[in-house]
Amino acid sequence: MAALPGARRPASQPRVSVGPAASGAVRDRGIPRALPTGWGVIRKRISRLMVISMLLLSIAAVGLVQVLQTTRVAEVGYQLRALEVERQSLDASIRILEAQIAQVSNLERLRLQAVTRLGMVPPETTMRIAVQAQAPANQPLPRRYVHLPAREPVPEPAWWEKLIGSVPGFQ
Amino acid sequence: MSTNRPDHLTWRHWVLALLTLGAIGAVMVRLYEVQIVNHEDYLEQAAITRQGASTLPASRGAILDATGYPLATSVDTWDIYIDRFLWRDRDLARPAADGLAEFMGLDADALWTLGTSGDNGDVVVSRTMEYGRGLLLNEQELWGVRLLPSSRRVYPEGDLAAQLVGYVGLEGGGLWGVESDFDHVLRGRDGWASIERDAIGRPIAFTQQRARDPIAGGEVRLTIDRFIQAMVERTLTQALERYEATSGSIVVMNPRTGAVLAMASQPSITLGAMDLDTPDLADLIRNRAITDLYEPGSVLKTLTTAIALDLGLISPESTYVDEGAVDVGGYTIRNWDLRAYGPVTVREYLQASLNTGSVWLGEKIGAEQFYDYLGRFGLDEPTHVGLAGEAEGTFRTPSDPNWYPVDLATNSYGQGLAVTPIEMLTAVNVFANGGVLMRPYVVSQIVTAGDVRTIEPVRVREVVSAATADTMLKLMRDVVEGPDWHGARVRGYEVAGKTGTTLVSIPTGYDIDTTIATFAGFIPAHNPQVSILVKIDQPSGGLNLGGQVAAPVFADLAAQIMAYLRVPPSHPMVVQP
Repeated sequence: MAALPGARRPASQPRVSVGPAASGAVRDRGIPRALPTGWGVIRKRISRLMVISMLLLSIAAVGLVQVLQTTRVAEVGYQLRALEVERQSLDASIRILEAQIAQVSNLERLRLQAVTRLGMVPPETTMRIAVQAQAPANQPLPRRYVHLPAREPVPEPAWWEKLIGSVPGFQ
Repeated sequence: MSTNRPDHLTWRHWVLALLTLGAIGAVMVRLYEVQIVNHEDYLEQAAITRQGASTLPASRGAILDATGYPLATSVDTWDIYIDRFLWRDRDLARPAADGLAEFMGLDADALWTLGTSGDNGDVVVSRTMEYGRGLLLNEQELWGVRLLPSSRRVYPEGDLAAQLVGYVGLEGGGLWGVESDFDHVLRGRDGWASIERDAIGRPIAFTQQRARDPIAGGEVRLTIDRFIQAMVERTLTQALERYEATSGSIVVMNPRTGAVLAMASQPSITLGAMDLDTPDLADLIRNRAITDLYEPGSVLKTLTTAIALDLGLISPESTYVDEGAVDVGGYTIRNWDLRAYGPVTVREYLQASLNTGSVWLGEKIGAEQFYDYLGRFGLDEPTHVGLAGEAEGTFRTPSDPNWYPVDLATNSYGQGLAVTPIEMLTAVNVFANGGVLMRPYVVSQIVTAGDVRTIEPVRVREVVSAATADTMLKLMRDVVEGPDWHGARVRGYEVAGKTGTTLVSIPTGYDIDTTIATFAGFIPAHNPQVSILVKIDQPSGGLNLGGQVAAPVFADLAAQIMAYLRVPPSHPMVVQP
């Protein structure tokens, strides 16, 4: 509220200093006048051009971040792709090795190895003796040519990851 | 208003504005260049870029034997293609043709001609290239040379159980056997992905929108034991050579559960070198144990005897007078050896396999009950073993217009009706299983993604009483162990069984010069672990009766199986072959 010329300051009204920097008031022909405070001062001090420039700079900054993120995402994407190819290759190798294991366990090959490499021959005499013991379990090879460990489940993404993922360009 | 700040644009503002405008202008210029100036070039490059759904093949599941060994499995391979669209660029195509030719050992000019013979479409250069070799080729990044994943079926045990396992076609689908019958389990489900590719066909990272992952094919575990199967096939092959027979089948089962432990037929096929244009392919791939009908002959006398026992019409010691021949409806039926034995017991009739005894029992049983029992033994329907192409037994009954009383007489000793080998063995198994008919099965387990299905033995029905079954088992043991000599005997073990010999039926009747020799039996007789049916078709090496041909094959095979299964013999012993 502006004071009228010559009027006394009410006791309840706080004294204000007249220093322009401290009070935000100026003297116009000796008469003190209240000046705008808060946002009004800032609005007066920042020109319209400055606001536009800052806006453009902000947009450029966001764009730059976007570009950097996209670059990073693409980089990770290529790494993922490479890992996926490697995984497929390893899976294929496992299947090939499984088949090879089975092939070297082929009965005819085993027979040939027994005859040619180990010099084994069919028994001429078979003796069977009854014993009071349980026969060991018959364990023909292989029981299962490769035991595959169970894969660990992929953890569910957090809510914020889903939120970011829903933004176009951040999938 | 008075302020220290100038109310006009300073040089800082101008610099900032110019920088911003410059950046925007650069973008605009680039856009103009891309969209307007070089529009056609980029349009062509976009056309080169491939975008669309790409199939992600599911690996085909394995067929395992009872021990978990793969009888058929798949390995990854590559199919090599030339992209003729890309090879329109001759400058890039020529070195690619040279590189591909050098890598594969092919003629470069031929590849060049192949790849430049059209403007569109992929042309195949090689199929099922070894996986590791394909990766090396891929590293060369030859222009317009595309590698697509494929697979090759391998059979680690070679041709073992070939007719049962079956075969897959070029596209990976099962053509027959388990490969075909369980194709829906084995083939899995192909996935697909929307993949954006660059100009040379490489997938562009992070542009892939995978819509569905492939689901690998399930595994089918058979009841077949490869060790027993190998014994069976080796024994059958030797038997066909020894007796100069045209074909044959052997089925080995667990009589208590119905599990088929081995099933073999000869002649057979070579899975690793299949030629689908082979003229007699149908004969080679046929699983004769389930598809071929034959007259079981004297093996069926066991069923006739069991029916009479179960009805309380006879006991093992009941007697009749064998005169060597009997007249039925104007037809004379004689014993196989044309001899007359006089008074004989049921036990002796089975041991001597007298046709007149069966006729006697058939008359006592009566047609209605006889055929009703045959149906209960499962001879009038497929066994439902779970394989396609299974035939069902056939016989006439009194309700058929062309049935005659002599049919009952001939049917009672296994002539004039037809069954499959697996049907006959399943019926005989009733005696080793307390009178209960079990359904045979060859698949014990199906394992798919997240699901394991175990096939349990199926009890079909009680055909005869447990007491009758036990009596029959003893009678069949006496058939083998009773005489001074029998070809089916196995040292150290008691065997129960019955031989069968039938003439080969031809359109005009029977070919009296050719026979089908069979033997069905259990071992050990007191506690049957396996049942075996041996069927040798048209032996021509001088011996042609079931007891001469099939019974020794049974003995040879049963001895091997007992050793493999570690079934203790009846008495401690030393065997010197």
